[in-house]
Amino acid sequence: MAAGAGLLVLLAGAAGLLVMYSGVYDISAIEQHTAPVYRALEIGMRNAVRRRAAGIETPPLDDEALVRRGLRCFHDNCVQCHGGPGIAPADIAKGLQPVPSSLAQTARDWRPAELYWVTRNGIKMAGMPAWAYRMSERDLWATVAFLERLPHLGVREYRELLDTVAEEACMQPEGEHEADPRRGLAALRQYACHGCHRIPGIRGPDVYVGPPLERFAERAYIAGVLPNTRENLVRWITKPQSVSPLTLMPDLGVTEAHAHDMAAYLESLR
Amino acid sequence: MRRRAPCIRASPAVILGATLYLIACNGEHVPHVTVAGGNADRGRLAVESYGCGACHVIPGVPGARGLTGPPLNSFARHVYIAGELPNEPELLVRWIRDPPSLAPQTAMPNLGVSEATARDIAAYLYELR
Ligand code: HEC
Ligand code: HEC
Ligand code: HEC
Repeated sequence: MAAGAGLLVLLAGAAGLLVMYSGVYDISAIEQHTAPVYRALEIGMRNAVRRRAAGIETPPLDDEALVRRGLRCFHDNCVQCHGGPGIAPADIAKGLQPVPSSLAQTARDWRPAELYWVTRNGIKMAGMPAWAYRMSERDLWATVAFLERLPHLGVREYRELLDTVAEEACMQPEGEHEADPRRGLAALRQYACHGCHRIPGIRGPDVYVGPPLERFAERAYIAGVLPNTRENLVRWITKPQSVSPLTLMPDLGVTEAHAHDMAAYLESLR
Repeated sequence: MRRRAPCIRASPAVILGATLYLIACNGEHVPHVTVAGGNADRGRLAVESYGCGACHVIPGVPGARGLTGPPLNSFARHVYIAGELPNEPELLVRWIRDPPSLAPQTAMPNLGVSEATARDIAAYLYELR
């Protein structure tokens, strides 16, 4: 009986894989998911967020300065996809599937810790980016503080509040810490390095835009010009064009601390 | 008693096997690049005699395990040469002949390779997919 059920599950799984492999499932972002697939994805996402946010303690969020700070982060980083009061999402967001929905609804329905968790970690296969590597801890919570206010703002209130907010951009995570290869592995993914490089330990596309980074620890040179030392590697990662003005490796805005973490990981590849 | 068709009894193994097989063998098609006047067999021998393997990992070339320059496995798939030049036959030939003329700071030296030999070498490197 149990064996039969197990076999059935295995078969269903294999059949599912075959359907994916064969290419019959329509991945076009113009066509909708079938209703069962859509429901399954939404419910799975919602429950995953609930479960992971359960243990997170929410700091006080009603401080007015924190809310204003959060508005800056929201206006600069979220509106382009989710829209805001009287503001449409940008064109790049309109064709996304799943659609980035209005956060005024989400803020009413979700607990602050859940908003924090999703903002910090993003959602796989949904186009919702993780912000942990682009916002400090304080600014993540500030954004949540503002989201709590969002459903209470009309168009005029939103504009008025925005006028009182400093232009100073939302902060990158501050971070003085010892270089850590495990954090480096996550940082490499969070700065999209694997969009151009094959990197051992990262499952990513089969790309050769930059050289594959396997056995990087044993390489004598970085990009064929700098001796492979920690200091040079950090310099290359943070400012490649200062080393080779015509290099096709762009400046990805990597913080010094994240570059040290990445270097620690690359130096472990033998 | 109803008899089960044999194809149904075989299906678990068949579906699983087929799935695993298909997933394991699903690479991109890499188009073949030809180099005018180049001969890959001669190229492989030239790579060996010029000692390119002292600085590069090069499949098919005995002892080519150097890590001064980037490994050349699957070089045919690389999009750029030395991170600055589109990976195209004529540029590759020029690179093999005289790297510093294309990237002044590069650590790869001019090894005095002739035009004809560079074409052979380029043909071989494009076999590395
Ligand atoms: C590149 C586009 C994009 C940007 C920028 C973006 N999001 Fe999202 N967001 C999405 C998508 C896509 C989803 C997934 C919706 C789904 O799964 O239903 C999503 C989902 C969410 C959710 C879950 C809510 C829900 O109803 O699904 C929250 C909360 C959220 N985003 C907050 C933010 C915040 C806060 C910011 C700014 C710091 C932000 N997002 C920036 C695209 C974006
Ligand atoms: C748009 C594509 C692109 C992205 C994204 C990218 N790189 Fe690169 N990378 C390159 C190219 C091209 C080179 C070769 C540069 C050269 O030789 O001038 C390179 C070279 C390198 C090298 C030297 C490799 C060698 O064999 O000497 C390292 C290390 C490196 N990149 C790390 C990173 C890290 C870390 C990130 C993420 C922060 C990253 N790259 C993101 C394209 C990219
Ligand atoms: C003294 C060491 C050295 C020798 C010998 C050497 N190379 Fe290089 N090679 C390098 C270095 C270093 C680079 C990286 C250059 C850069 O990015 O500026 C390189 C880059 C290359 C590249 C570009 C690789 C890529 O993915 O971008 C090719 C192709 C190449 N070499 C072929 C050869 C061939 C063929 C020979 C023999 C004729 C050879 N090399 C001999 C050091 C060497």
